[in-house]
Amino acid sequence: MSLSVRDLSVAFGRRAPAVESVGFELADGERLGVIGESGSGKSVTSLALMGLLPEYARVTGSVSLDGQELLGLGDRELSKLRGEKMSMVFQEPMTALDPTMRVGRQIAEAYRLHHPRSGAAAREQVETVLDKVGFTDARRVSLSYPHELSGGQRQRVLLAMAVVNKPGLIIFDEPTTALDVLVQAEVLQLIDATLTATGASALFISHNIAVVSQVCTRAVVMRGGRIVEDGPIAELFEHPKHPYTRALVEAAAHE
Amino acid sequence: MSELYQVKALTRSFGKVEALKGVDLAVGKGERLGIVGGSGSGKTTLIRLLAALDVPTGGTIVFDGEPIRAGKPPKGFRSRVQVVFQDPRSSLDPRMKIKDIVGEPLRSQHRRDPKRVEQVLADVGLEPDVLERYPHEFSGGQRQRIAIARALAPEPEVLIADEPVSALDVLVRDQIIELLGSLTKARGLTLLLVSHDLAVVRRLCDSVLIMNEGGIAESGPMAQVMNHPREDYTRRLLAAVPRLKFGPS
Ligand SMILES: Nc1ncnc2c1ncn2[C@@H]1O[C@H](COP(=O)(O)OP(=O)(O)OP(=O)(O)O)[C@@H](O)[C@H]1O
Ligand SMILES: Nc1ncnc2c1ncn2[C@@H]1O[C@H](COP(=O)(O)OP(=O)(O)OP(=O)(O)O)[C@@H](O)[C@H]1O
Ligand SMILES: [Mg+2]
Ligand SMILES: [Mg+2]
Repeated sequence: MSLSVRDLSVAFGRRAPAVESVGFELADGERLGVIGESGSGKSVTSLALMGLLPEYARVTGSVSLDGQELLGLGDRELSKLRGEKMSMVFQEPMTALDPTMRVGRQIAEAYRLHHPRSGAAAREQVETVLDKVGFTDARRVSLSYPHELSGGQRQRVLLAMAVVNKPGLIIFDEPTTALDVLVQAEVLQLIDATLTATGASALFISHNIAVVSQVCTRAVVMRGGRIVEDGPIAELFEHPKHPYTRALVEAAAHE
Repeated sequence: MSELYQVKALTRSFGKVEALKGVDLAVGKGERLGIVGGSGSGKTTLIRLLAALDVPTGGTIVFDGEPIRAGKPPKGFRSRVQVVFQDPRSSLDPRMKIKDIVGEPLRSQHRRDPKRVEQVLADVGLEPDVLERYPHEFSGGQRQRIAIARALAPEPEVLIADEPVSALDVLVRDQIIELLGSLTKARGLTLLLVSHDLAVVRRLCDSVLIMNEGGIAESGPMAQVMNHPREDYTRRLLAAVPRLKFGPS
């Protein structure tokens, strides 16, 4: 799906806006990286796209998904879109999971939301998708409650939930921070395979610039609520124009 | 170096899951130990035991000459040893303001020290205007820094940190690495650092423990393990570090 974000601003209370006049275009099937300073507005931007900001956030501008304006849609319409057409892997997995429900059931319910009347199929989907995110003990994991899993296991459960319905747009907010490099490689392959198979578009937020350079074709750089630079990955990383981008890329290149 | 931790045959099972399968470990005073390993390999389980926040199924932990019995730490342990948890959001009380969260470990030492609270927040790159706000009003990386500030506020002897910089951009991360590095040098802070980021571990630690499936795959001085890994698992881990596809010319 294509996404067009124009002049998006988000403010909380009386403080300076957390996101200010952010705009970018995401073509069908494209993978756009979002990098930038901690606190620069990356997660708030994604939550605004998903319609998941708290009530007290003031959101202005325009977000359109395949031509449909999302800002101002009601809760019912938005929750129908979420999961079916767009989904998100949240930065902090623990807060996105229901602590009182086994994770397998949570994945199955996400699946059933958009595939009603699919009891057995849903259960099958759960194990298949857990296998794909690198679990060798999918059955045990699906029967666990969130607190019985490690940080990286919870992160993978969230990934499984985000891809299970094969939505047209997936927002990944720091999806591999809790994964060791071996599992990370496996998960990045899954992300690549899923996006390729379904032709979905992706917004990929990460502090790991090496990972962004491998997953994305283009990226935007955020700082202080604004996009300070954007462009094709090769150009952005080889010839950064903005001093902040240069500092980021050089620090990453030095490792 | 005198021993701070002596760990023998430590095990921890959750039902049928053997999260730790007999770990032996010694940590010297002022040592900086990196703990690396696969997702689900038992790192968080191990450090929760070392922080006396959980009770082992078997084995012993001796801290500075005194045994930690069934999760009960020796006197003074709680103020000497501070922990930064892997999931900052769930470790910060949502009903408390930042000034109270960061001031809490000080209060438990009967210190009221607003200056120290401001200082330690500045050390992690946060402005004084965060003091009156609540945890949910922050970004992931800001919450992570609040958790670091809270742990550093009472000037602990031992810092146990579980993925403390995973939500930070490289520049802020470097600032935190420098802060921790200078504390270990200036004050002899003992550091137990869990991280998936080998670059971080390499820069901050002098020794490293590679965990795999509840056991120690390999351990030793940093340079030795990084440059001449003995185990296949370590070699695969080192080889899988993602590299920048395009870089500044
Ligand atoms: N619910 C909220 N209420 C008030 N302020 C908020 C809220 N959520 C975020 N903010 C503020 O908005 C700004 C942007 O936050 P955001 O979470 O988008 O940052 P980020 O770029 O995702 O950072 P990180 O890389 O650390 O996750 C921050 O200064 C943060 O303190
Ligand atoms: N309370 C619990 N109940 C049941 N199983 C648990 C519990 N806590 C941890 N485990 C299991 O123990 C194993 C080790 O978990 P641990 O959290 O120590 O891993 P980790 O090395 O920290 O992984 P990560 O890097 O993903 O955070 C995992 O398989 C996990 O599912
Ligand atoms: Mg964020
Ligand atoms: Mg862990």
